[in-house]
Amino acid sequence: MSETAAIIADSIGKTYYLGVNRRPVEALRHVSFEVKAGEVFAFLGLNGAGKTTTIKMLLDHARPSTGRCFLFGVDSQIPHSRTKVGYMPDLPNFYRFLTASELLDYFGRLHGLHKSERTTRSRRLFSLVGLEGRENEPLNGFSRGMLQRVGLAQALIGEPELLILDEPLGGLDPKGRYEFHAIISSLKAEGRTIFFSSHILDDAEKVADRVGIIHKGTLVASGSMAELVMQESGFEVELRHPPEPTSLHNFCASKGWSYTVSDSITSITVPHEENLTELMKFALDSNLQIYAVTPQRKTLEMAFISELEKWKQ
Amino acid sequence: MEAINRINAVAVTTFRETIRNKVLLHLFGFAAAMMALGWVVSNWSLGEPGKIISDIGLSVTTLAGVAIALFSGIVLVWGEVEHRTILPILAKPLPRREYVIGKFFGFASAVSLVYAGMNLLLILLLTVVGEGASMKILSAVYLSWWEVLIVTALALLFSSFSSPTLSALFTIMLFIAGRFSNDIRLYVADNPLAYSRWILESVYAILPHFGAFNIRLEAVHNLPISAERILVPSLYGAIYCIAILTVAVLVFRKRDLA
Repeated sequence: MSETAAIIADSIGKTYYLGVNRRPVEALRHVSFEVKAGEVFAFLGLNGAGKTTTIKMLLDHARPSTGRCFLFGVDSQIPHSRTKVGYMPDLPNFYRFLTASELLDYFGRLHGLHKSERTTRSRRLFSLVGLEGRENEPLNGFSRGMLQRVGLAQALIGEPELLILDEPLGGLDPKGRYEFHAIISSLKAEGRTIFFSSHILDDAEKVADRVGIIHKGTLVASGSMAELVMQESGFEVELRHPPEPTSLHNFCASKGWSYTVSDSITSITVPHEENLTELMKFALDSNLQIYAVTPQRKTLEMAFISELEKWKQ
Repeated sequence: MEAINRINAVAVTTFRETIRNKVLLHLFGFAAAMMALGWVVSNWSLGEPGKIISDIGLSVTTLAGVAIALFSGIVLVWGEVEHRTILPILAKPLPRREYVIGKFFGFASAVSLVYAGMNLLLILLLTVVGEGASMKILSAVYLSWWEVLIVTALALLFSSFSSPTLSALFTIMLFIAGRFSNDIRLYVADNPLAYSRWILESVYAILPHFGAFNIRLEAVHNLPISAERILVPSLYGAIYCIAILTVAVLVFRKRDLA
């Protein structure tokens, strides 16, 4: 594993002991992955899969039972490792009696920023997250979406090179989600590394370079979006044909290809590129008009389901 | 220097958050009402109303200070973990020991401010009845402040690993036991069995000696108070608070945040 990686999780495991008889529950099992500097990594999984537990290990909110984590090459159990890190928790909650501006000032001080720098950055961040004019209001009057925005602002106050976001879009309305995607894209363009957990696959598909899929505490798949999602999974061919295309349908049935008929067009799904050549030859020989050929690509959702299925087997 | 700045940041924020909580205002109001009652009672007494006001006032401010330290302190760290406000804080480059120390200083400052406010009210009442605040009364207030600080440190320690109910139970038990710790010493002197003497001596050493901070009787009745009677408990209070904070840091250092 590379030493310059923003995040290295090296075989981390976590066992909690619950109840009076201390029943062991394995929340994580030897999870290993690496996030390179500058990339957007989506950490996907169902609720309770182990996403937040993994983030806790990365930030030393909890100590792993096995393995170690490194942030920019520094052991995550050393507080200094978090100097270049910004973190936004799932459903962020803050001190109720502070104003948003006092809170940001506090987090700026924890990063060792001077007063003038804290003021400048706070002003810019309130504008970025759309809370301009609300900064002097106490946080106990903020809605969930507004707290989410404050959460992002506090994560960015130290101008982090690595952002760790736990379910960042959970409390946002559609407008908020759109704005959030734009912010993530601009942060990515600035070269920041972003690690975010989500169970909303659509969000990951829009912004992530690489994806890790965790299920029941085990990392079941990890790779680039291209590896997981963009791989071709066949072609859809649309052929215009005469009223009774019996020979075409018989040909498809003999090959085991599925097809649907709509008016004068038959849509056939072929699994491989060699099948495509075979079908094209048949169409040309039978004087059928080729209307469209569309490569079929897996969606992240399909990849996610397929990886879970593989894991079950 | 960076560590001091971070501790200061935690302390200032804790102070702000604590002082804006209305519970403190209610306890302050209760203490003020009790002192006003003392004033009314003093008017019915035959002579020396100042002594009655001092006696009731010093007891009320100490108990109110301890109550504030106890009931706000037991949720200090527990509340942060439970409401998850601690997560973004400890995601910053902030060592946990600095967080605990900052929490103590911020909370102790808020409690001290309320305690000072209550005693200012007491001095005002004494001035109204023509007594004023003697150095002895101020010394009694000062030593009781150490009592409040120790309860603050104990509440913080327990809140760093247990629920508010258990923390309250532990702190109250230690507060009561600490008030009677002198009796253990007397019992040790009379106990002939070596092993039980050793156990009792250990218990005596661990318990906070709250009796050492109580010079209210001497202050109210204008009895002599030596400098040593003030300096030794002050030193003891400071060492005890540092010891409790050290344990709190050690306990909290490796705790998993739920």
